[in-house]
Amino acid sequence: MNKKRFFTFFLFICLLSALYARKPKAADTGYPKSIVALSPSAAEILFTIGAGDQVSAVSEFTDFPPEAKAKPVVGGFDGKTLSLETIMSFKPDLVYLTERMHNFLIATLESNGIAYYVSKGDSIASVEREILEVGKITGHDKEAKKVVDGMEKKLSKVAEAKKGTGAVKVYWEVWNAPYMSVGPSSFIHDVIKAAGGENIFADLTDAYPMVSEESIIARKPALILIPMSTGMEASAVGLRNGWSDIPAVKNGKVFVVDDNVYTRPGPRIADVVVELSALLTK
Amino acid sequence: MNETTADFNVSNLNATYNKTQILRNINLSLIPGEFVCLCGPNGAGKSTLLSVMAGVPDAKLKVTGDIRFIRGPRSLSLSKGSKPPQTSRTIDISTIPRRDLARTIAYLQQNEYSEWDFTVHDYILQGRYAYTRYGHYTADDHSIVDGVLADLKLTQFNKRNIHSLSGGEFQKVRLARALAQTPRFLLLDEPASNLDYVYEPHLMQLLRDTVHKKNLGVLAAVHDINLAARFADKILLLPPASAISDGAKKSVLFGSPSDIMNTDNLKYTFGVEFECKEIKSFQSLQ
Amino acid sequence: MKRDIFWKIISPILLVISVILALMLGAEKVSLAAVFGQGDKFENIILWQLRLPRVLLVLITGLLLGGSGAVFQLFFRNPLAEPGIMGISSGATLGAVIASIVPGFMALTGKGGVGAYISPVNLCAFAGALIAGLFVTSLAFSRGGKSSSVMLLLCGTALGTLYSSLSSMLLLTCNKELHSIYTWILGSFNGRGWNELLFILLPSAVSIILMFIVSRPLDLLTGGEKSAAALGVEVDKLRILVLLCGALAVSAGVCAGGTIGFVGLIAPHIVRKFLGPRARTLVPFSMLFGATLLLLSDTFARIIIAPGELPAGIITSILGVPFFLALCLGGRK
Repeated sequence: MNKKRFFTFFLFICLLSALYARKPKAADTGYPKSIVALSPSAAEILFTIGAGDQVSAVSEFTDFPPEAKAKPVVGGFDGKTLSLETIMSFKPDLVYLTERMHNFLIATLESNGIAYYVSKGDSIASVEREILEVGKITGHDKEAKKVVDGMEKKLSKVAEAKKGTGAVKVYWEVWNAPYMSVGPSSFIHDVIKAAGGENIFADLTDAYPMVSEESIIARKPALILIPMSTGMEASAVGLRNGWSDIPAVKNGKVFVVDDNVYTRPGPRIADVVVELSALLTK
Repeated sequence: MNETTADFNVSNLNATYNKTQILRNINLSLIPGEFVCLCGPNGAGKSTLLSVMAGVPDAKLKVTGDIRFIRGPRSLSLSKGSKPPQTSRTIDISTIPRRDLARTIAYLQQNEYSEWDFTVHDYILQGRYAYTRYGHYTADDHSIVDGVLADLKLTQFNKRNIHSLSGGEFQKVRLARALAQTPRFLLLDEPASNLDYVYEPHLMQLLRDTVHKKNLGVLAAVHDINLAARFADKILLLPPASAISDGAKKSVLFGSPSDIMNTDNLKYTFGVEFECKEIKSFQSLQ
Repeated sequence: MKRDIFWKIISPILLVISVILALMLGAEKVSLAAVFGQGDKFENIILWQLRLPRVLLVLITGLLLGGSGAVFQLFFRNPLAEPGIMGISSGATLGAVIASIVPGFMALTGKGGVGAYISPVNLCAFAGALIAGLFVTSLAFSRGGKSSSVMLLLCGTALGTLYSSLSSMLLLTCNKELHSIYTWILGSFNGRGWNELLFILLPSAVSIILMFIVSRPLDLLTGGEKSAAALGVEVDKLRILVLLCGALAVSAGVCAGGTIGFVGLIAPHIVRKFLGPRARTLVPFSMLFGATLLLLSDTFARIIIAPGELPAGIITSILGVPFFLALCLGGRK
């Protein structure tokens, strides 16, 4: 490439950046340099694949990896306190958002010609897909591939180990007053499945249904998982009226797990599956 | 009821509402067996006077003065267990508990409707509340209600729903409830205000008869001074507080109709010219 | 007269039937025989450890809401009155929201202690309702006991709006997806049991006793407070008792089932239509009817999408309102 061409190309890029990319989807005029990540999983993915210095702002509760914590915060990740103005103040060329919580931003982003990426995060497969896509968009496809390969290795090891054994019935308790669990459309359902478990409420449609206490007992879960964020202690579960005959309680298989990591659709989910499968077979 | 009964006495009564004087220096005495009509222009404070005497003044009203029953605690029917009255021969009504007061004074506001649709019987029965223990009505209470219905010729209305009554009928039922309290004194605020022309003299006659039959002391605010002159034993003329300069003139004019009702007094009370004629006999209106 | 007696007999029968239905029906199958003592181990757990305490809770809450609704409608001479209007329900919600959000509180959930623990959300809701209620009641004392009921209603409503706004604001800024609190606000008995029952026993008992005490003079308020006073009622004292009764009823109710609407409004109206307005019938039968209504709603909520559950508060609104409209439009006075 001779100097003239290079210079023209460089000018072209400058002009385009100055005018804002008009295309809504991932820009083809170079990799984004000012990414605003609107969820902790988005930030985690970006940093894991090496795109950390392309990130200009993250959402609240972003805590992994530690470098991500140092970035400026743009607002809460559930969307209720996000303001487009704050997002814009970081002059983003890519907004990395979550379908469920940030859908409402899409129309405005489009009309302002800002590129965005929508994360689905509803299954492990979609997370892997996402990592690869984001890798392509940010110019880190090689690292992204490495990350996904690493995840796949761990996941297949678990799948291999549990071949031939039946699925272990699992109850994931979102809350206890009222009792709320998870349905098949939730991310954690997929994680449980991948680890060799079977969500006892796989027959419900809601993502976070309120469930009958009778059914929890009747479905005899062999493992009960309590998210750490509820503050509940594992020992308290067994003291509940009528719960003492549940297999999980009888065998002491009630565990408190870090839901911050367990429900985050990001690269560490493979480690979660490994840990979970260990709990299942303990 | 005892034959020796107390007087209902008001002295030096002043009432102000937000710095406006409503009642100035009222002195009067209500005696059982007397039918007294209270007359005065609108805004003179008739309703205020009655509500203060009944012990239910408006919360924002500042009242000074003395309202008491004179001549003997024996003559008041006090409920069992209430504090023995002072040994002196007067009782300040502000010291009397509500229940006891309700046995002595019955008060009817000017316009009152009932939110809930009770039967006539149940509505009148409420007048007996002050005599009940724990709100339980006895057979005696029920028969008193029947008696009052009979006195006012309302027996056929016994089971009727009060919301189905006409204005005049309901007014009589209200009066019945007041009478069911078997009070010594009745304080009525324009009892004929909702009634037809034809009804008014009826009601006034009814009141007069009841007063004398049961030896009650009645103070009724009446709009029509002609009616008042015709039926009342005594007239109480109440000029507006603003019309009275301190000390100079009387704040109320009290006396029998023939004494009181002259052009001077009426002009003083109402502020307009009146013509007084004496009419010897009456015929009821068509 | 005959119609009166008919309804007086039928009401408790309806209640008993509702109780039996509530025990029999649910997400998991339990035979009728089990209700009468012949059940296997699993059925017994479901019936006596799960359903029974819940049924009792629902029953008591229904009694409280129905009765206090009647008391408030009579005292304030307003067919739209119910204790929630004093801002008490909003205070309960605020308490629950604070408990859900403030991180420290959640650590209390874990402290098992057999029979001694109640979710801090419910505890705080109870406290919130009680504080809101007592605060409004204290306003009744403020002018030497001579405050007006209208002023109290206005203050209560204004405060209620304040609490609601605070709740909304807290929920907005808390940044966690709190599905649970939204369900709580809609009113659900899921997950409540013996602990809550024991906890609310005392406030419920006091509230119900107060309901019976105030029934006596309540009729006399039909012509207004002045008129009642002239008939011998100590209106200021009555006002305080009424407010206290309502505050306790709602506080106990939210601890049991979150904020359940409409029961306190509808039950007295239904009873009044069949049994007349006299407080001495209206109050107790509103209690029975409120309990029946709530039991049926909760049972329905438990079976309609089993093994999932709907919040009972939704059912009372959805079923109660059209029924209520039909009643109103079906016979004007």
